[in-house]
Amino acid sequence: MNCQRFQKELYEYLDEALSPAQMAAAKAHLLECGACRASVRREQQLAQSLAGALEQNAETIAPDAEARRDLAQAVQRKIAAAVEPAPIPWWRCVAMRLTATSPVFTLTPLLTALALAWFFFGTHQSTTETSRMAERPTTGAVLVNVSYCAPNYTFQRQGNMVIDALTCEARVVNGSLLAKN
Amino acid sequence: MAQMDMDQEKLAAALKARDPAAMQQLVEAFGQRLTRSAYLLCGNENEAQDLAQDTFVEAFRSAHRFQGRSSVYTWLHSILLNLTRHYRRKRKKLIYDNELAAQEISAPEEHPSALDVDCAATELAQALQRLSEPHREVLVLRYYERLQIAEIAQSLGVSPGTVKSRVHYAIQEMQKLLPAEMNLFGAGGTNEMETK
Repeated sequence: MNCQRFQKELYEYLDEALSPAQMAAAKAHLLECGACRASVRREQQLAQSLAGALEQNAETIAPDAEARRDLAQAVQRKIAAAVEPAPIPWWRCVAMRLTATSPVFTLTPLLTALALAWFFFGTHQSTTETSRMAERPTTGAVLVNVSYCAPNYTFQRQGNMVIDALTCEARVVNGSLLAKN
Repeated sequence: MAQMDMDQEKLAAALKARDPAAMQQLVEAFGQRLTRSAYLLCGNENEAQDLAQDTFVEAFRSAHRFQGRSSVYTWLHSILLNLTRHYRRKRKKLIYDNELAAQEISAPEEHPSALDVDCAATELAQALQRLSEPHREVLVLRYYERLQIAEIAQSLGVSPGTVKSRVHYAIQEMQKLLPAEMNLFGAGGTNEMETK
C-alpha cells in the first residue's frame, strides 16, 4: 500500500471498515510512513476535539425528565391529530351525501333499472311458474297476467350511521296480446 | 449509539402495528439525542424540539417503510435530516453580521494551540450554522452521531466517496470560519489539510 492509497482509505481505516487483508496492509504501511501516521493522529485529534465541542454545544439544551415527558405528550398529540380515520367506501360516501339532503332517499333511477332488468331477464322462469296465461279467447287475443317482485333499496341516516334496507314489493301486471293470424 | 441494545425488531413491528406504547418507548429511548442532533442541525432550541416531535410523528406514519436495513435511530435521523432540509428551505436565511464576526475573530486567546473545548463550543456552533447544508450534515453525522462513512452514505443517499469529500471540505470551511487562533487540528495541523 502506498501513501495515496492509504489516504484514500483513511476514513475506512479509522472506522475499522477495511477487510482483514486491507487492514494488515494499512498497518504495515503506517509502520514505515511517518506522514500517514501524522494524518491518522491529526484525524483522531480532530474527531476528539470536534466531537467534544459538538457534544458540549448540544448539551446546552439537555432535556430533563419533564422535557422528555413534554416531548412524549407533544408527539402523542400530533399523532392523534395527524392520523387519518379509516377510509370510507365510495358507495357509503355517496349514500351519506345523498342522505344528508333527505332522511330517506330512494335511488329511483337505479331501482327502476333493476326492476326493468328483473322484469325482462330475471322473471322468465318465474313467469312460467307464477303467471297464468289466460285461456286463449276465441277472438284471437291473449290475456297475460304477470306478477313480479320489484326491489327497493333505501338508505337512512341515524346520527353518524347509515342504515340501508332492501325490501321487495310484489306487483301484478295484466295485459292482452293480439294474436297474429 | 444510545440505547441500541433495545429489541429493535420488536420495536419496529410494534410501530408498524401503530402501537402507542412503541412510540412512547421510541421517544424515551431516542428523544433526547434526536433533539440535540436537531439543535446542531438547525441552531435553534424551539425549532429543534419541533423537528424532533415531527420526526417521531413522521416515523409513526411511515413505520411500514422501515426495512430494518439500518438501526432504528439511523432511520429516525434520516427522517430528521429530511425535515430539517425542508424546514431550512422554508426559512429565510439569517444574514451574518460581518462586523460581529470580525470582533469574534479578534478576541485574544491565551493558549491558541489546540481547540479548547470549554471555550470554543459557542464559536463552533456559530460556524456550524454558517456552513452549507451538506457540509453541516456530514459534520454532525460524522463527529456528533459518530457514524461510519458507509452509514452516512446510506443515510444521505450518496456514495462513500462523496461523503469523504464533503467531510474534507466541510472541515476546511469550518476552519476558515473559526477564529485564526482556534485550530481544529492542534498546533501546525492546518498545513497537512492541504496535502490530503
